[in-house]
Amino acid sequence: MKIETASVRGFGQWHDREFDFATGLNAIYGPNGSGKTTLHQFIVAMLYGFPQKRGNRVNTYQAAEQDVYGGKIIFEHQGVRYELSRFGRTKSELKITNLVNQQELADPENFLAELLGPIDRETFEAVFSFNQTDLLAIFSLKPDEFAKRLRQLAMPGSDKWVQIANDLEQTAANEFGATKTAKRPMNQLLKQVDDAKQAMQKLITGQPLTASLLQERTDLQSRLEQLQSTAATVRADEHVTLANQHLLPVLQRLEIVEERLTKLPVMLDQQLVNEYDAVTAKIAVQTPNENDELPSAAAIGQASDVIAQLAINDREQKLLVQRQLDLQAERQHIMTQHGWQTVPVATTEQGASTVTTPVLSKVMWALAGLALVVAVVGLLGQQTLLAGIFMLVGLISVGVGFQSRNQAQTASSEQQPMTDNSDEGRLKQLDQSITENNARLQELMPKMSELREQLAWIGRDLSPESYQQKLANFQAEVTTRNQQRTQLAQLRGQQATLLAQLVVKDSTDLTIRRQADEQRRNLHHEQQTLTEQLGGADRNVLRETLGKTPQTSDVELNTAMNQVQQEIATIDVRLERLANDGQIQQAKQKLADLQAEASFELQNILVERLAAQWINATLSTTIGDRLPDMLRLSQQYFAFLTNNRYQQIDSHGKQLQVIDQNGQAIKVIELSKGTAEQLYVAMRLAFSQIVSANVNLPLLIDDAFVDFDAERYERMIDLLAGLSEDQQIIYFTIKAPKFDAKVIDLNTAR
Amino acid sequence: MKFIHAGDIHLGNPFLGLRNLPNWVQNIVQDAGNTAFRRLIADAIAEQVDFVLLPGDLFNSNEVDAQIELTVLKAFDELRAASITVFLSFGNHDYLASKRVDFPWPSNVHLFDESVTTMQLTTKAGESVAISGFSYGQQHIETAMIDQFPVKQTGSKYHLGMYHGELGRAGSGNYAPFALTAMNEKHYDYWALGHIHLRQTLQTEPFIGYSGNLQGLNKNESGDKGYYLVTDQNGQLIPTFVAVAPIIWAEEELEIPMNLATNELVAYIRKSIQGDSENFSLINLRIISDDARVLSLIANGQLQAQLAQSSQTRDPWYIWQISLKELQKTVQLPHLPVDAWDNNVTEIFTLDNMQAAGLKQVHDPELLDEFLNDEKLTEIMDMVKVKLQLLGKDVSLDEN
Repeated sequence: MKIETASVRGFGQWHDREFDFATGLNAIYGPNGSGKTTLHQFIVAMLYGFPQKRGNRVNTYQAAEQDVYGGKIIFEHQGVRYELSRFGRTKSELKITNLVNQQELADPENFLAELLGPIDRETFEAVFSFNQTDLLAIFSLKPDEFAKRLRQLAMPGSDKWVQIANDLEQTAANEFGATKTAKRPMNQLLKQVDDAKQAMQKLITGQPLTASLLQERTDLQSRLEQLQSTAATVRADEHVTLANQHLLPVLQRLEIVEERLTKLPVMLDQQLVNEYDAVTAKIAVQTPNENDELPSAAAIGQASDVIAQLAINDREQKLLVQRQLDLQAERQHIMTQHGWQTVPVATTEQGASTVTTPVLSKVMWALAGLALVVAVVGLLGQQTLLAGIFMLVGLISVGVGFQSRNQAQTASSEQQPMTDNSDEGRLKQLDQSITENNARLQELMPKMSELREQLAWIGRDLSPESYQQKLANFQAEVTTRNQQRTQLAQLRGQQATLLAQLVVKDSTDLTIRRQADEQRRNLHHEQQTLTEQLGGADRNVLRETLGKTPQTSDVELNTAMNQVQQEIATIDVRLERLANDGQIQQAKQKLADLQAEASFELQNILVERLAAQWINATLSTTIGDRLPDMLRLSQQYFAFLTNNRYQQIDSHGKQLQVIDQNGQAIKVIELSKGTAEQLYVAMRLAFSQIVSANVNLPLLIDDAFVDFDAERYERMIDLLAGLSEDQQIIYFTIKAPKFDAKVIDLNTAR
Repeated sequence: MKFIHAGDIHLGNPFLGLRNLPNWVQNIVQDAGNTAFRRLIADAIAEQVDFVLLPGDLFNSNEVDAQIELTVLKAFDELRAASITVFLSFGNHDYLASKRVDFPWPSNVHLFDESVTTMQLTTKAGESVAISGFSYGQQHIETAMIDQFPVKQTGSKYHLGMYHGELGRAGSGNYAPFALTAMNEKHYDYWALGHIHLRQTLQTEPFIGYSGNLQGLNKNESGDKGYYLVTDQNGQLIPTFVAVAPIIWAEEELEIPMNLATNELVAYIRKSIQGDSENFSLINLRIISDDARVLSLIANGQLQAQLAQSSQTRDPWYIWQISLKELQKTVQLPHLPVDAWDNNVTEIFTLDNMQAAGLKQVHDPELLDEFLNDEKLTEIMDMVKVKLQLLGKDVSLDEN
């Protein structure tokens, strides 16, 4: 499009001013502050609207007076002339009228948008409008900034996109740190997911195994049932148990008895014991005899002889005594017959003695008679000793009696042998005999005493027969005793054998064993009694209840059952709690939520990053695409501007370079200020031409070449003039133009 | 004869894709799976079915906890008390359960092991039924297990097949690939399939199909969810769908009137939501609007946050996601010619580039699984386009 007229109603310093433009090169000149820039901005505002926001950097060009804000332009586009008007800053009204048919366009916005095409305000500013500031700025650029600026050249609006890309990248980087220890939100989120997973795993593994819990419960249940059946059994047996109560002590005792029985040694073989007893009895029977001292065989033998001798003596004595008695009797008879008191004796000296003797003899005779009587009695009574004694006394008395007589008589008798007539002579004979007897008796007596003494150990004053008997007894006894001894020894031998057979050490041991056996028998007997008492009661049952009353065992069972029921209840509670425990499900859902969050955020980050990459890639390729054309054209313009001093621009590599006529590559930084400006302008112009191939809009150059020297200036103007054949150029300057152009002098226009 | 076909119950699996749920929604969501399952059990007992067929994925073996185990045991025990048999085979998610020997399954539960076996049953009406099936012993099965199924014998009135897998050729599939022809060759009366979570009929007579899962767990499992109640109708076993899921995933579109004030936006949306007549809805709301403010509120998550805040525990729905209804596919990327953008698409949008852009720092297997595929890549590309478009608009918005 080409602008023909610009009519400003109110904009900045302009009021009701009109400017006409040529289709080619226009030069608007005026000193500083004359409104060049304002006019420039007006044209832009007509096309793109007024600045909406007020701000520090935004100049809204508000009219000083309360005038109408806005204006109109008349332009030609594709052969048709239009009038475009915009009035009002904030709520501006756009009107476009087709001047050919004077029809106001129904949809001016759309028409304008279409007309302008992809060239939005920014692009327009970037491509079709440039000023001194831009130019100056390039010198302060660092190489990559210059490249960036060139990119901006090649792609107007790319700055914004670069910024967007950077922002996206920055946002993503803020969200998601690249290092392992990064703590940005995404990193944290990922860690949260991980932690939540682990926590959940822990929850799951921390649970008890359901299967084992259930198994435990089943086991407990069977145990309970077992206990219950036991309890039932127990209760069923309760009355039996009660009945058996009284049997308890019996059982207790029985047990003690049986225990003791077990502790007793084996019973002795009764037969052997009996034999032993018999033997022992036999031994016992004989034993008392052991205590008697029996005479030895020699003693017996001797005694036997003595007794024999004594018997002889005794007999003799008896004979003698008898004889004596007979003699005495006879004497007495005689005496009696004669009436003699004493023996008539030769009266001699013996007479005297005889005087006395008759008294004595009379006493003696009395005594003797008494003694003899007693002796006989004793003999009869077998009081042999007594008899013996009295006999002896008697005899001694007799003896004495006779002796006195006999002495007298002897004296007399010796003188006179027995011539006498019978009685006296008999008497003398008798007396002699008596005296002989007496003497014999007296002889015998000590012998007999001695013998008797020897037999004293058998007995005293016994008759020989008695002695004999006794001796025989002794003998028998000895024999018996020997027999007994032998027997005893035999018996003892038997005893020992029996003991051995009984496996008993000795009799003491045997006694002990017998006691034990006795005990055993007793205990056994007791056992039987007790067992009978127990009757048919089951011992085990009784034993179980031993020491407890039926109530107690019931209580124990109940306690056990309660405990098991308790355990079952505990497990049931646990199972119930587990069954209703939503904790893990909650954790799962929370984890899924976290994962969804992580997914969402990750997606955003990826979108941001990929968007940024895409922007950058697109910018690069576009620049890359555009660059050749632009470079070609730029080269052309640059060569022209530098009078072919620089004919090539090299865009390969990071930095832009120019090749001088000698083929020398020179970095842009190394260029002089002026040359760099020229390069910049060349490139901008080149780009604008490329863009305006699609959309032809006027180029608005705002005094960009002030510090060019004359030659460069002139070349620039030449270039512009050349371009203006197809391109409308409105050149704002402070210098009065000395070239061929439509000139608008703002001085005069004031 | 009456039975239930319910595959892929996935007890204990959480809902996917939900972020920042308010607590009351969290609670509803947590219990949904169990609720659906309990409804199934209650229905089985009420209908006095003869048996229940569960062709795989009753739960995820590596995430089973005591509550799930006890729930299952209790439920099966209730079935046992009602004289209902359970035929249970394990799929690719619960194959580990097939190896447990100590689990105290009630006596009415019959498990299938890794080789194809046929079990017999007599129904309450006295009909003899044969049921063939198999369990997974590991995560993948590449063989066509269908080949090991026996042909229907004359002894049984009905012969049913339980099969956890998907269509495919042997050797080129990980889930016991099968072909319909192979199934038909067995002359069974009904094939209870499992593995696909969407209710799907592959063949009507005899029926070969998937019952789908009992409760949808992500936005792709939308609509009513439940089980099949199968009855004999004129000699054919016909499944009737019964819905049990307490939560329905739904998508609703809503056009926002222009110039609706920002502070009225939430109220307007709330008023306009339809939801489901019987159950709780998780709604993916697609906004149709050109209003830049609205777009901005959506893009920055503010609208979502406002809606979440204003949600009430009495609401029979909850908007879990707000997005713009798809802008035109050929997104106008601003300022530069379209082909300039297009030239770089293939370079930028690659899996490798995604990795480089940050995915490589992610170790979580589920996340990686979700992102490292082409669908996600395309999704991200679309989102990038939308974002650039919005940013481009921002750019132009700034200028006025």
